[in-house]
Amino acid sequence: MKKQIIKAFELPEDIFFDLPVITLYGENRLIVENHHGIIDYSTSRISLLTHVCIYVIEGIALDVIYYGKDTIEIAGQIHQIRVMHA
Amino acid sequence: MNIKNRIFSVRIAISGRDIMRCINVLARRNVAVSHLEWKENTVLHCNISSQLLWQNRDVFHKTHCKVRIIKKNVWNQKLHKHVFRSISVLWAIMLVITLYYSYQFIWKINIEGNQYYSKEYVQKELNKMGITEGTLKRAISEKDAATQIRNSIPGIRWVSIGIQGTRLLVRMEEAPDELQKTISSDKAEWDWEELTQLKQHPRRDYCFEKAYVIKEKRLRSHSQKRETAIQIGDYIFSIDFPWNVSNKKKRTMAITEYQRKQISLGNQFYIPVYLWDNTVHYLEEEWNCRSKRDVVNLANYDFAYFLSNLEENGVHIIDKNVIMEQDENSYIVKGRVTGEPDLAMRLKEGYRK
Repeated sequence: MKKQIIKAFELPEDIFFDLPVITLYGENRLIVENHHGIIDYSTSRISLLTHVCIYVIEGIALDVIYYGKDTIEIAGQIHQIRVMHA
Repeated sequence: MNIKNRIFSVRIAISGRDIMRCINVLARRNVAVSHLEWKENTVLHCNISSQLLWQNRDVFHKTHCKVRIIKKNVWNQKLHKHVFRSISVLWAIMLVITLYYSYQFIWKINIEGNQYYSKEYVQKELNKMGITEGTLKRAISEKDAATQIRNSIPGIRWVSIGIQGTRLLVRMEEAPDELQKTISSDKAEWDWEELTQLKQHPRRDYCFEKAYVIKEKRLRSHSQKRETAIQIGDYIFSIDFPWNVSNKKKRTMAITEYQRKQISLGNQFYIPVYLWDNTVHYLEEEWNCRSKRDVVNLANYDFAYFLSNLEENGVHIIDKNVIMEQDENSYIVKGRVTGEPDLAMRLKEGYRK
């Protein structure tokens, strides 16, 4: 019902369903919104918990530039982003 | 992380069992951290707001983590202190300069010891010399100002002008009696000269004739005296009897004096009389007055007439009762009136018509 209403009115789903939003700038900078925390953090791999899934970001020399309540900004050489269903 | 938190941030090292949980809890509490960096895979370094770190110190305790401040944002703090000190010093310097600058001027003029002359009148005289509130202190010569006041305002025994801080203090003592004596003596000298020019005793009927002439001229001179009395602006005046003439020669002298020039000076209003056979004679009613009481009554009458004329012209009279002052040789009738300064001009115009 909720999905139908949101689709009918073309409302932003990320707000109503708390869906994560990933923004990748080139291969060196990544911003993830609506996350629920960091599960694992190392220079080669960062796992992020979200409402629907777990994102695993792999790369080299990964750094968390900013870690706030809703937003996390990661810098480094990003090789791949995997989606794992919890 | 907002600008305030960025400027006043500290770099901390978090160590313990559950570092990631600690970071997540901080994030849930809306405490942003930045520039996370692992050191030896056991210690996490990050930047955090110093204020939020203090407010959320319980998180580290609950998550069994230890926090160590590695580096304060020293440069920012130094800059902050430097700016704060600079601004404070600048304000202090500005304050001192302002105080010093304002101290160079006269901000208040106090006038003490005046009875007949109002403060406004004395202040006007000071204004004519260029001394007002806001005048530079260096531009005021106290001695010169005192001398000028003494010259410009008659009937002042002494005056002193001093500067106390930003206040100009004018102390003065008035001497209306001395003023009258001075006038009398001056006039007497002048009259004696006139008499020596005559080189003869006046005729017996000389006084009658002169008295008649005086009666006509008195009206004109009376208005002149009113003008003088009012235009001074002090509105205190008196009808004066300064002459003590005990013989015919001196009586003639008094009459001549009265004929030649009315005695009017400052805010005093004079009516000359003389003594004849130990009796005071009032010049206008020369042969009707045979006692001091008559003179006084006449003076009162004249003064009342004067006041009624003033009232007609809109001058507010504050004290209708005349005051009699008596010494050996003179009788002074005094009264006080007040009014707007422009009334003096209107009165003057009226009298001229």
